[in-house]
Amino acid sequence: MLSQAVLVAAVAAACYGVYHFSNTIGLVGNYYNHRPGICRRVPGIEHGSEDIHVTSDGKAFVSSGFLKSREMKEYAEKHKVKGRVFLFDFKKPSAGAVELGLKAGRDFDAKKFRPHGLSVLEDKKRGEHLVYVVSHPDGLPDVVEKFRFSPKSRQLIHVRSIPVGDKLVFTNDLALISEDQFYITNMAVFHFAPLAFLEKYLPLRTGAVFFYNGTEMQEVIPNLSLPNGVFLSSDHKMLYVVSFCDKTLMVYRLDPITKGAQLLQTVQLFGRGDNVQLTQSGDALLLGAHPNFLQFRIHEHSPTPADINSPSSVVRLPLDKDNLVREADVTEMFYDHGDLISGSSVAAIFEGQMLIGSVVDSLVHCELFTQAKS
Amino acid sequence: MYLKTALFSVTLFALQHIVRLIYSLGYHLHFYQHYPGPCRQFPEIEFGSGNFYTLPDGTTFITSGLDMNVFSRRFQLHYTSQGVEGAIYVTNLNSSEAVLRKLDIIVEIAAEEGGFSLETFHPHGISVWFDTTEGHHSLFVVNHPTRADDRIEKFLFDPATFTLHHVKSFTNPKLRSLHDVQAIGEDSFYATNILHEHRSRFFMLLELFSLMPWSSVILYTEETGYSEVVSGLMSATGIAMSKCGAFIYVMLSLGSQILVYSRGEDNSLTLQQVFPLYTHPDSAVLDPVTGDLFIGAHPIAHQYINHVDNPAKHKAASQVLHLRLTEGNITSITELLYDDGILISGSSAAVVYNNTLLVGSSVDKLVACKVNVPI
Repeated sequence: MLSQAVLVAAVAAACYGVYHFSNTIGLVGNYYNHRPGICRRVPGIEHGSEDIHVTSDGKAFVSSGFLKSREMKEYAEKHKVKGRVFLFDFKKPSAGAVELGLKAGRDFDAKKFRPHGLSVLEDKKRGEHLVYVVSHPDGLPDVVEKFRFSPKSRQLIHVRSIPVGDKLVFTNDLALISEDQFYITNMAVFHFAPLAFLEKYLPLRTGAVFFYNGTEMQEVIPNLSLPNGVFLSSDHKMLYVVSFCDKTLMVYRLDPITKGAQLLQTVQLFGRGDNVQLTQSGDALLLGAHPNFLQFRIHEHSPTPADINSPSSVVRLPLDKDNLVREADVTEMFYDHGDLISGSSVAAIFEGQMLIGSVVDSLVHCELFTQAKS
Repeated sequence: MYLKTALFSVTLFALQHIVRLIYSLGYHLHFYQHYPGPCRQFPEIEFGSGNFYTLPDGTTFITSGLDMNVFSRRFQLHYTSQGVEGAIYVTNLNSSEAVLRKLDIIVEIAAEEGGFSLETFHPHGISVWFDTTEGHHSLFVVNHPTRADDRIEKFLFDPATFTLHHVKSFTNPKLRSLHDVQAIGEDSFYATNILHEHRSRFFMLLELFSLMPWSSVILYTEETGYSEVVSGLMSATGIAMSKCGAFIYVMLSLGSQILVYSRGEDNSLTLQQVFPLYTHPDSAVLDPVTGDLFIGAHPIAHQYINHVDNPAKHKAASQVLHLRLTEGNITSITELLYDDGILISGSSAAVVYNNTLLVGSSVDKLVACKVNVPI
């Protein structure tokens, strides 16, 4: 009698578990394509445009060449996929994306460069912006590469490699407060393969946001599930963190002295959010997201990602005067089944145009018909 | 022994049916809102703008004040207490600020027993036929008269005085629980029966939730009378015809599909394409300029069911789809609008003309949006 009751309870729990899991991986729900304007692929970008950062004068820095799996490493060697940073000028969109030369420094090997998230500290006077890029060099621990952009020679001159330390096993994105002071997200702590696998799919809460103060990493937000993109509000008082596993965007208030963070708002998303970015006017956040997680995983790990479509979505989250998200006014600006762009991870808006980046696919440029969208 | 097996099988069957129903009600669905541009509501319309027909010059006829035998008692009480009237409006989408005008309806034949009466007029689907020889527009409108059988009413439109002259009523036992009508001649049309049962609310709900495919398409011509040209459908709602008259599009709401038929010389319909839709379409309106179809749909079924029962309390998500056609077949589909129900609840029809999107609802508002996205 008791064993029967236990059996029924176990079956019920299993059913619920299956339902919940299928929800989180995006098995349910069918969406239709829609675009905010005329959209085209930017030629020359085929191996990803994972993160974008736009300066106030319309220069977008785009990281490319991100690799996820071992199969992709062989593919990368065969097809000579390199880690690159591109520059797209919103003021000259027809010029397309230009690859920036990477001027090597003492301890920088461009061949091992595998960029992921990036962040730019603007130099409004001379345009020599500081570009920080999270890199996963082959066979080595993660590192944050610091470059100085030279507008004259169109090069990124390597300044310094900042090691992330052994607590941070797989970093993702960073947000700069000032030179050599930034917040960085870490998604994994396990090296041991079976645990690392579980860490990717179960909400184990091993991720965290760290603060780098110029010399060392300090953990400021612990117990997060796969924290992905991170971005600061325009007044640097709020930090926006995307949790890939929980499908949430979290809004934290930052303490300028302790660099600590207090959770103010959790916004539920309907797809798996990746990177988040402020629009040009600073009154909204743009999120690149993956509506179907299972499909995205297949696409991301495939040796030929161009052959496998994964739906893409760009969501606009308007902010109120306190820089909190106005949940009732959240809209989706772009949805594509994957034919134009697969696995969208980031989006940026500048002067009536939108740039959409993907993890391992193309880069898309849209002309927004509505003039006021900034 | 056999009894146990039989009982087990029946239970299993009932269980899978219930699970199927719950899944189709869409409790698990989540969508993001998006609009093609800034939107505004028309203040004149509070109780529905269920179906449209747009002429090539932008003149659009809109039916309002829907009530059906299948609707609940609570809805009917709400309807009468608010003094809702069945009406037909007209607007011209060519002007930048579309203005609504209610059409005066003149009844030629005095209301006899069972005849047309404005008091019992509850319009639903609409279709317009332009007679090139006579030079006038005939409006065919589905009517759900209070406590009577559904029928099709025919009106003549007088553009000078903005009046409709009621000319004829089409009644027949084959016209069951009607939804929409498509005119194919001065006195001929196709009509969709959404359900077979048309009198008892209890049996109508039973038919709906048992998912029995008893919905059909009826043809009427003066020569051949009333005939059932398509049967065995799962809740057919909207019906539309291509510009050239060669193709007929039938929306299946619970069946979540669009059926494309090619029309024969004798008005028979041959199935050409089955287009799966993961939403519940209501009506399709033809774009008179491009020949594309615009559909008002109910993406989350349980919200719509609750909304139609108690419109004051429940909002229903709205969705507008744009279908492009090639040689009659549907070749691409884009979502033009998605709203959680705050701007407009239970969208049932939509059309784009002159960069304006008009969205109508079964029992809620009428909305116009500027279209700032590529169409």
